[in-house]
Amino acid sequence: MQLTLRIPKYVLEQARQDLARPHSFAFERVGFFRCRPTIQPKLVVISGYDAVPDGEYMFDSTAGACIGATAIQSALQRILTHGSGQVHVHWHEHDGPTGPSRTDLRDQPRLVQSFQNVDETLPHGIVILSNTHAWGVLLLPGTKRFQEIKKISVVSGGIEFL
Amino acid sequence: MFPTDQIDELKELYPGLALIEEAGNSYLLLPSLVLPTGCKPESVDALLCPAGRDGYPSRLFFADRIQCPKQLNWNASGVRIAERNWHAYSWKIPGTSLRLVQMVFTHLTALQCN
Amino acid sequence: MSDRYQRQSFLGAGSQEKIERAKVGVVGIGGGGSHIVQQLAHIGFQDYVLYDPQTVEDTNLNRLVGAKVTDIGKEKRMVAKRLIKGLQTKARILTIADRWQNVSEPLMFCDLVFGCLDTFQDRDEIETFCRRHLILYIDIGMDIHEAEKDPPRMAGQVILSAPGAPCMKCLGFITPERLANEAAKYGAAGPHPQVVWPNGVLASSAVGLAVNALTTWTAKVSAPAYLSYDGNLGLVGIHPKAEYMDSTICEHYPLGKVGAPIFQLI
Repeated sequence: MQLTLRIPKYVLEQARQDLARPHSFAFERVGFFRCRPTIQPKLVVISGYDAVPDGEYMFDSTAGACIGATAIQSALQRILTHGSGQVHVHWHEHDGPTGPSRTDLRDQPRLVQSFQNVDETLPHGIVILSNTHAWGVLLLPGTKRFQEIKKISVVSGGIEFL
Repeated sequence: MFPTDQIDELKELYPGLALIEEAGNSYLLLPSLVLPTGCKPESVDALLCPAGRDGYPSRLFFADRIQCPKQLNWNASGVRIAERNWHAYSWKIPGTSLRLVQMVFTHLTALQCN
Repeated sequence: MSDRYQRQSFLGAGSQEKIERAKVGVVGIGGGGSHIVQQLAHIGFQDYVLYDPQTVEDTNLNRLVGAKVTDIGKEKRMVAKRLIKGLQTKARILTIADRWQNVSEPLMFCDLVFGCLDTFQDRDEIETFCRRHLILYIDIGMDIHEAEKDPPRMAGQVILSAPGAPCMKCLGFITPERLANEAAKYGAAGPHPQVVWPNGVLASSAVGLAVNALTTWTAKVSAPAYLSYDGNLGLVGIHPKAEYMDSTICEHYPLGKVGAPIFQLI
């Protein structure tokens, strides 16, 4: 079975709308999907989206977006409060397939590992959206290596494969 | 949702008592419910649906189909609840007047041989 | 796109790719399910998970699409697989001779599931499963009510149930009364009247909904979809319940509760 992530369309739209909003100094916005495991580890489902409030970004000239300790603490708290994993999500503004930049690879894996330290029974990960596609990796419960998501689908009355 | 004193009473007997809600129904998980003498297995995970479903004012589901000397109508076999399969026999008990713990034991009387 | 599918290019750019990428589950490959499987194979679906524990009987041959006289005693899954492979030689087909509740993992990975089931209880369970795993579910069913003095009444339904949108309970199709009546009659129900052409009508409508869900060729995707079939008049129309819904949000399956069940210790 291939690692599969499913996102309800209205949650994805919520994320896209939030991530597209301009910020006073950050070039990009980030947010967090809430994700839930299923009884089969290779299938993970998204149950919600949390925006990072404007005031929780930090100025960082080396990154498109940098979130501060408060935002990270909120994400960690959500793991405990909602029993859902956290998937860091941001948007690369182009059409077509996408993937992580060097900066993404520098910072985000460590953040996700800290999520796993809070609750390793839940999946946590990173998703990057483009206008038409998505790329992502997950740290599954009981594993230490990120695994690439092979199928990302958006579900509503229709089905879209990203 | 359920009176605290009744939950506490049930927890005394079933320390792992847990609540799950699915498809508009609420269920109480009773781990390793001990069954009346003569039943096989001797204990089994059970799900109590106190508010009823399928036309029963309350229903007790078991993780295994229980073997006991009494002939019962197992009219719910392999029913999927909370990602597990459960079994229940047809046994209608009075609806709203029983405490939760009374509900459990009244359902279990169906399995008693004497 | 291969020449074979030229005539369905109206489904839009990339439509064939989407169809070929989708994993479909069909639960029940009897009268309704066999029609569905046939159509999916013609359209070009490549990835199937099929559930049916039954074998072909003579009484199935009035409606089991793809079955031959020589199939009596053979598994219905085998008939379905042969039918698919006859059109899609490279199709990946997993057939399971058991209830889906006993072998649920393959169904979890389906992008959409067709339910061709006999009871409201079975429908309730599979819809719950699909909601938990964010799977689009399409239900079909028909019934023929025989009355003493009047002609029999033939009716059926096709329902598309999508995560977040009203479910079969919201639509009033699955009700506590229906579930209770069914539980009360357990073991007493005999074989239901069944015949091929209404299955074809319903299966075609269901496949049409599925293809639209994948390709959005009509530029309109709505959920839920609730089509009702009047077999006596030969009409398929939108069920009034779908047109006059009080709410567009499902209260029975909140999206916050998807995924593995959460048992709260109390």
